[in-house]
Amino acid sequence: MNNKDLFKAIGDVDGNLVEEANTARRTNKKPYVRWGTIAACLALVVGLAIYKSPPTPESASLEISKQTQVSSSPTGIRKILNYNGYRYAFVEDGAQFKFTGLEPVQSLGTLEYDINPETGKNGGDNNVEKDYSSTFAVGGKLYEIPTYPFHFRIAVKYEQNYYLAELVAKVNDSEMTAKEYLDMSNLKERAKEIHILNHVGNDVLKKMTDHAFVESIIEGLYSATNADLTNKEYEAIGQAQSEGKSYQLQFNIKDGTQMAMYIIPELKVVSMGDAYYQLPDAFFDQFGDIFVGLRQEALPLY
Amino acid sequence: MNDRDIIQLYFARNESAVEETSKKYKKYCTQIARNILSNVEDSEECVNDTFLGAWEAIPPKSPEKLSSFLGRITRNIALNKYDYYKAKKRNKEFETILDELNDCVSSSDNVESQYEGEQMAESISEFLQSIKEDHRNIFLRRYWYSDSMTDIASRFAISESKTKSILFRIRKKLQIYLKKEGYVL
Repeated sequence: MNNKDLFKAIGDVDGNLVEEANTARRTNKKPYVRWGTIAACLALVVGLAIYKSPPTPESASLEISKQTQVSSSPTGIRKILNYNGYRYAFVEDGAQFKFTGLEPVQSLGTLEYDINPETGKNGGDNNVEKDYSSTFAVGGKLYEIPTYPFHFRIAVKYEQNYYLAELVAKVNDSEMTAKEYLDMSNLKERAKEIHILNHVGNDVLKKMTDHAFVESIIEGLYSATNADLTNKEYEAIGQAQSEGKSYQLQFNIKDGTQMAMYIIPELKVVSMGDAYYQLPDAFFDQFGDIFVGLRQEALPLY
Repeated sequence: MNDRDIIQLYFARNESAVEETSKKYKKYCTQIARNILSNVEDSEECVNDTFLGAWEAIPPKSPEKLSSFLGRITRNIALNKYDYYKAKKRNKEFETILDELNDCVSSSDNVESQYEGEQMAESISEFLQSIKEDHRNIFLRRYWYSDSMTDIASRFAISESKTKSILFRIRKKLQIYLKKEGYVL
């Protein structure tokens, strides 16, 4: 059979499924940006650090812990907001967080425009690139998080609860360099450890805790360049993911939270926010060994 | 007017059936045709043919879902029209969609690979029911509604790269599934 036969056969699938797809705007919550899940354990570590060493302003003053587990919203629409020309994704799909020590005080404005296609005016399409537009917590107030002066992460206060949002892209989808992303996240200063997990993020395969080593890996990530991927390359990424060749790099942050990237050593690509970047051979000459011998199961077929 | 009432008009051979169908589904069908043909005039002609086709088909047919029934006719008419197009006039985005489907088939037209269309559609439905709901919807937006990558990405609020990699993975799974079911692709 040829592709047109298959196209026709697809045309005859169950009408109920077709109708569902007509109204659907559903998607999975993003698998990465899944930080905070072990915040309670890390709190103990932070506590010890305070006890052992003279408190640095940050470790003594700010700790962020997750308060709620969020099940996917009924519509499944990705929870995002626009601020200062950047797109932010709500961390943990809009879980509530608690600030201990320092509360956010510096206001950054109010989320004014609803761009949720289900509830926004005109399907929410008019304001999709406007600052202060959001698919979630519209009416909420934005705050600077004291330890994130570059606004890589910001807090949203809505109905007395705090949510976190993390920068994932520019609103106009123009390129962001790896340096820009890494500088804004201030990862070099803030990451304590790096864990390598399987792609879905439920199995820790390796832990790197040596501070100098962690720092040198992050320095190495600065050498990544924007990947202008072709369709074939996107397909190769999809293939690598399904074959268990994509790993999650989880950075454990000093405030008790985490952030994550995906890395595919075989293709020499790494994700930062919503984009993929190409890593030079030199990165893998230096760090390739850490991925040797890691085993993860391929993603389930269905 | 609800679908059941419209279908009753068809059964009563009342010509307002076509008018009511057009009122409710013209936009829906036009979008499907335009995704395949890209040309406005041809798409409109295609939608008119769809309504005529529905008039001829109901009765004896009594579609359970009028929307997908009409959409299916539109798709088939548009695909036939598309075949008549010269290379220059072809819609590049739709060409890409057909290219993507080549991942699942060998593109041969030999007799051995003849298949029962309805039976295969049933298998594809079963496959789609076995995968995640959002993946199913993304697949159908691409290969049933022929939506562009950009439209799908914005509809599901995900990046285009993610859309592409999801679709790639589903195509691979579908190919494996159909082979397992005994289809010669």
